Amino acid sequence: MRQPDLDPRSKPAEGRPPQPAPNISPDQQLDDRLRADLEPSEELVRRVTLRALSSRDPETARSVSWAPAWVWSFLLVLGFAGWWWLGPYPGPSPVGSTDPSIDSRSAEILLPDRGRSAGSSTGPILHLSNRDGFVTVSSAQGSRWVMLSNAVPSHGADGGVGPNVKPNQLDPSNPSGDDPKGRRREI
Amino acid sequence: MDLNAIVSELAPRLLRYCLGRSGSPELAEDVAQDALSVLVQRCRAGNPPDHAEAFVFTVARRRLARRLWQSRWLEPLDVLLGRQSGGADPERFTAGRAQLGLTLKGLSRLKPKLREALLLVAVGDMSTADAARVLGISSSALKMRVSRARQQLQVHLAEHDPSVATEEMESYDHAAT
Repeated sequence: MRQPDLDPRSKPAEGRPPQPAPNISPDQQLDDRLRADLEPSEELVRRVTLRALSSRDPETARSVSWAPAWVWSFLLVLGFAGWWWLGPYPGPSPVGSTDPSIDSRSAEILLPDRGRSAGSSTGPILHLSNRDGFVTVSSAQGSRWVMLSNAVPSHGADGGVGPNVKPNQLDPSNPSGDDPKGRRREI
Repeated sequence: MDLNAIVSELAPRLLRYCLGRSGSPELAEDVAQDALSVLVQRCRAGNPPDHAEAFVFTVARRRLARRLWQSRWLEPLDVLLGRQSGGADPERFTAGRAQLGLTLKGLSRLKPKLREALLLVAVGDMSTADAARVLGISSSALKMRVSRARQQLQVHLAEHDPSVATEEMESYDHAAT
């Protein structure tokens, strides 16, 4: 903060403003008095003028310097939202990586419900990923992740599809996985 | 008109206005300089405002309001932490300038709307139309506010400095009747 101009030499004339002429209206007298009282020193006027003509807008400079903080805050929030949406273990879909023929957009998935019984989730799958033995399933009904070891027991899950794919959905005559009757597959 | 000439012409008016509005010479200098800097930047960027005077006063008015609001909220914190207050000490500034202290006190007692109108017209030397544009009101409303502000300020000055104001009050009463 700059120091106020306290130099008595730079102050306007002390005392009352010059007596106005008698024909001046009282409003004008009051305005003259206000102007005289608030009149800045010439030095102050010169200083402000020179600085204004030579300096940048300080508020703009402040906003520029603060911009990275806002950007980082935004990215932080965005990253957290992404982590929340994708789950703690985002990664490539095991289905897509091992059996790309399975249409993950319209699959029906059997999900174990905390190891008690198999729940089911139907509808379009928005995201399916696997990493380190966890499967994250996201659909319009919500999102959850499960351990593969807790998934529906596999009955000979050969073919590299995964332990939670039931064998009756694996049709050797239909390696592409397309269901000719349009039924959805269970994983 | 040359930019230097515009800034030089606006600077004292803006300083008077900011000092009357804030009562703090430090803040007045800061805000006046900021507002003029914005004008200079706009002009140098090739996008000068239509009315430089109204533009500068509008910027100063907004920034003053913001700074006063900030200081109002931060002042208790500064006191609590034992820090020096951001605003200048008006008593120190007005020491030896009793007239200014009285005027600032009178201005501070006016309602904000009235004070704003009076300062823009009487101290900022703005025309009625420009001041009304800055405040976003009609010219007639502005004249009404200025008139009320003058009346209340006269009363305050007469109460606290009768030797100075008696003569003015008499002429004011005479003119009013």
